[in-house]
Amino acid sequence: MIWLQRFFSWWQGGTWNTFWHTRRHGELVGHDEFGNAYYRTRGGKIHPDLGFERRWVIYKGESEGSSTPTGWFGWLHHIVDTPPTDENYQPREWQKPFRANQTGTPNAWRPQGSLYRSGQRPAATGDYEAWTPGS
Amino acid sequence: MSARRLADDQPSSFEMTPETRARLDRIISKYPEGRQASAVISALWLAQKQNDYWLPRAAIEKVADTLGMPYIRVLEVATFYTMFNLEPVGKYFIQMCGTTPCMLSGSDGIKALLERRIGAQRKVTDDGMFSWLEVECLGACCNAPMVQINDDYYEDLTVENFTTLLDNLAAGRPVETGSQTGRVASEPTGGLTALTSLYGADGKSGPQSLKK
Amino acid sequence: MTKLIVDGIEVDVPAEFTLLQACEQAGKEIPRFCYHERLSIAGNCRMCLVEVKGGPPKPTASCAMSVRDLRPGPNGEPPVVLTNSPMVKKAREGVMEFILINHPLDCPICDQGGECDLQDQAMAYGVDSSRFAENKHAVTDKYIGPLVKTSMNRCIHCTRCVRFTAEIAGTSDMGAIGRGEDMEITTYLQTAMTSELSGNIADICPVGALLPKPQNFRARPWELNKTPGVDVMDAVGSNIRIDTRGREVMRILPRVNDAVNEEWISDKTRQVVDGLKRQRLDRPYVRENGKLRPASWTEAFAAIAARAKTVAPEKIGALAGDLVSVEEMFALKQLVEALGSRNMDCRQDGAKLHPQFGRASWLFNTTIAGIEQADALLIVGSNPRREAPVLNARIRKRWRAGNFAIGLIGEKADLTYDYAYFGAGPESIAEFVSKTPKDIARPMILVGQGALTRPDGAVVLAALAKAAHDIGAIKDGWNGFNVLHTAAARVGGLDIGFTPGEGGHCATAMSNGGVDLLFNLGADEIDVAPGAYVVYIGTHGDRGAHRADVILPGAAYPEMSGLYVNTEGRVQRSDRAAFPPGDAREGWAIFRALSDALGRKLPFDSLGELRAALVAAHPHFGHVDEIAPADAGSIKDLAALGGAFDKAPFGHVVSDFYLTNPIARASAVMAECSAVAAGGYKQAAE
Repeated sequence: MIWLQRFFSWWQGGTWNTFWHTRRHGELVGHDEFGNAYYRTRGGKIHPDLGFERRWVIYKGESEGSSTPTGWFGWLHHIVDTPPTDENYQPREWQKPFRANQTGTPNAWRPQGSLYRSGQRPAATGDYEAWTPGS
Repeated sequence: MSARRLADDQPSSFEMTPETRARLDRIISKYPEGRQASAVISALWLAQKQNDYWLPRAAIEKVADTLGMPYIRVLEVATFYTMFNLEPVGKYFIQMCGTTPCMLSGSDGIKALLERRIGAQRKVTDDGMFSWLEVECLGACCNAPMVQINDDYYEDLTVENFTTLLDNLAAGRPVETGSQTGRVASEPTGGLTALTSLYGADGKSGPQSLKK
Repeated sequence: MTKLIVDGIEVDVPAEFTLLQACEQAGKEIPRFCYHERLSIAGNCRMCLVEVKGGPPKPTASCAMSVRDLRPGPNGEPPVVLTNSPMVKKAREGVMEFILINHPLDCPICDQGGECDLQDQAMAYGVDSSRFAENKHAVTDKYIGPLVKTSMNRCIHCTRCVRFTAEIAGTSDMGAIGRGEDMEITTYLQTAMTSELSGNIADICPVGALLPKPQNFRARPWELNKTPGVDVMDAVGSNIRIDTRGREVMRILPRVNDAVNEEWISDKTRQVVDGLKRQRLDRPYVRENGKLRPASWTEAFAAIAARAKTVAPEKIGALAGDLVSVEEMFALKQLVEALGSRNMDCRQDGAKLHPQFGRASWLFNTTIAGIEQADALLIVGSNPRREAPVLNARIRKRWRAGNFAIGLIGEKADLTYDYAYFGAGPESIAEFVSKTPKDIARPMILVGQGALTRPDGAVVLAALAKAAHDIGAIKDGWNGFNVLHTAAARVGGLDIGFTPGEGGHCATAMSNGGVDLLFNLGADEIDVAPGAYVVYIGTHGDRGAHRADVILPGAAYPEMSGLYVNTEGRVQRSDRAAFPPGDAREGWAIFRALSDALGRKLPFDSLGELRAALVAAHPHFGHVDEIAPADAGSIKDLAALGGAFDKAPFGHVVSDFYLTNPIARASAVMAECSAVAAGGYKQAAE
């Protein structure tokens, strides 16, 4: 199916054009834990205009930019040249693992004071304490 | 004038002495039946005199009970009039006049002396002898500067004679009330210049100093 | 009458009018803070300044200047008052600027915002900025009781509260201590106020210095729906305004009715609102195996119907409580009669008032406003201060006017006015009659429930009727025989004859095993002995609900439209301000539905039809806000009854003013008030 989707959508994996470009010029560097594939120009060929090699990623499934792990993010953005797979990269504590956008799900973020935050209905006008028989 | 409120330390009770009570009854009897409340200022004044010149809460309640008034009504009166002291005062409570005529005649020196000798206003000396307060005009401007100590006026003060006066009071020696320079009443300081003889049908009217 | 010209309008007013009243007569509004028409004149806010010609050549405080103090012009021209001249405007702006010097600009966080006299008048006379560069003074907030919160920075020293407690309430709780800029309004050493009318000072406070504490930061006045209602906390029938937001009653305020409550209401009337939200019965309950379980209306009706089949008609009875409306009682009466029973009673305290004595025997015949025409008053077996504080304020008003002798037979108490004490028991009545001069033009006798709830109540009632005759309290144009009730429903109940019929059982008999099936309509002050099957129709989980075998949840007084008859016999209608909680229904609708389940369908389908039937049976209920005068002749018949009475002293019926009914007992605010009052005068200071 993925090849059919490549005709019509750009947000699942890559497009046909990317696919062909990767086949002709790309060189696989590695995969992250989500299965996203990271490529660079074959042999580290320097792009004449940029002055450095090009690096790109083809997502597995939906193209979600935030799902790039921190280690690969550094490599992808030319912050480091060693891919995390080669150096046993350990994310720092403040580098949180990827979590998909929870908007619209029960886990969506509710700011303080939101009616939905506690899971309980707040006291409202017209509330009363009903009597219940003692024993 | 700072806020006038009841003192923090209060005696637990207040009882009128028979003499105070008798005087108060005489004052109350001046007013028609049902109007005893009119005697409230006199009653507070008597209570204050009996209680070393200050009004504790118990005295205010006693006066209210005596006159059949709500406590708050008497408290209103007691906190309104500055002549009612709501905190303990010294054995000699000095009310120093600092209003214009006295100020022009040198009450600043008297004030400085009081501050030096007794300390801040409303503060009782450790031996309990003195406390002082600057008040508004006491109506003896002719003999300025002047102070009132307890019930008496002491006039024509200078720093020197006031120092002597305070020394005498502290030592328990008798003091002269009125003018401290020997002036008779409010006659001119430089001697009489007019009305230099007695006059009138019986020849008895005229300046006080001629009558001696 | 004096003529004067107000802004070009000529008015003719009595000479004793103040300029302010004369200006109001001319339709001119005068701003004011300290002036209040029911309080003495203080003249200390200076906001009511006007310009006069024929008086002092300076802005004049119109509240304190009498019309007779103005003199006519050289050619006899009437004096002229100007209320909107440039001088007046400038003078008032100056006053407003002075008032605002020490008034905090905290309207956004002030509960008075939106109903604040100062806010309103600052719109007209305020300037946009202050020229006052010095420090504002700060005043510590005072504790003055559980009902009124203070924010003394906002106080403008109008002394309305001081005058109210001294004049109307009669307790002299508030005062102004200190002088000049140190003047502070407070109670004596911050004790709690002792008056039962203390909540009113929050109403008369023109700014946000005194605010109702229980309503603190709860609602803004503009978001409330206002419904006219009638109070049921006592039998005065104070006119109230019920303010609701959504379905919640937020507060209760007085409505002006000079014939009843003027513009005061008691603290219980005002602050019982939180009792409407606690301990509510919101679903039917049925007792099974000794335990109450929630049930549906159908189940509950089925249980009642099943029981009704097994009970003989003469073993069925009905009790009506103190807070119910006339319609509810009328519907219940019809239902019980349809079931074939004559056992019904609205006098759960056992008062010996009965329709057979005539309507005049249970009314406050003089009327509340009529107190002001009276010349002398005897109070028997009553503490009006606790039983009807607003009525007591009216007695005090008459007493303050002078030449009003008051006597008391019964328990001694601080009634806020002086009285001669005649004795504790009924034997003092004769003594009173012998000591009373016969030439008093308009004497009144006020009979409290303390004199009538005794076993010999009927004899005491007759003796008092005789005394009323003997002192000349009943004559043409004057009926001085008055019964002061404590229950809002009582007069209505007696009016419709909610009393035992021929051979029927009274409340005491019914509660002590006289009946096997008892319909208890909100009667919570009576213990029902075990044995009877009790159907409780009420609003709160109080004594009645605990004893009940079936509970049918009803509507409290703000939750239904109903007629109430106050102690004078004045029929008043209360409108519905909110809805009953949960499954609860209005009482009349419950009886209509129940009658269907019992197979004795009542002949009405709506409140309107029920009212029509009520008016057809008792025509005076058609005249709302009016008193149908009672025939004084029946008091003469009553006086002839005679009998021997017990020598026991008269008791009191209201031992704790704040906890007299199930709604008040459910209220936390009332519980606090009761605790503070019990703690005495000295306690409760911070």
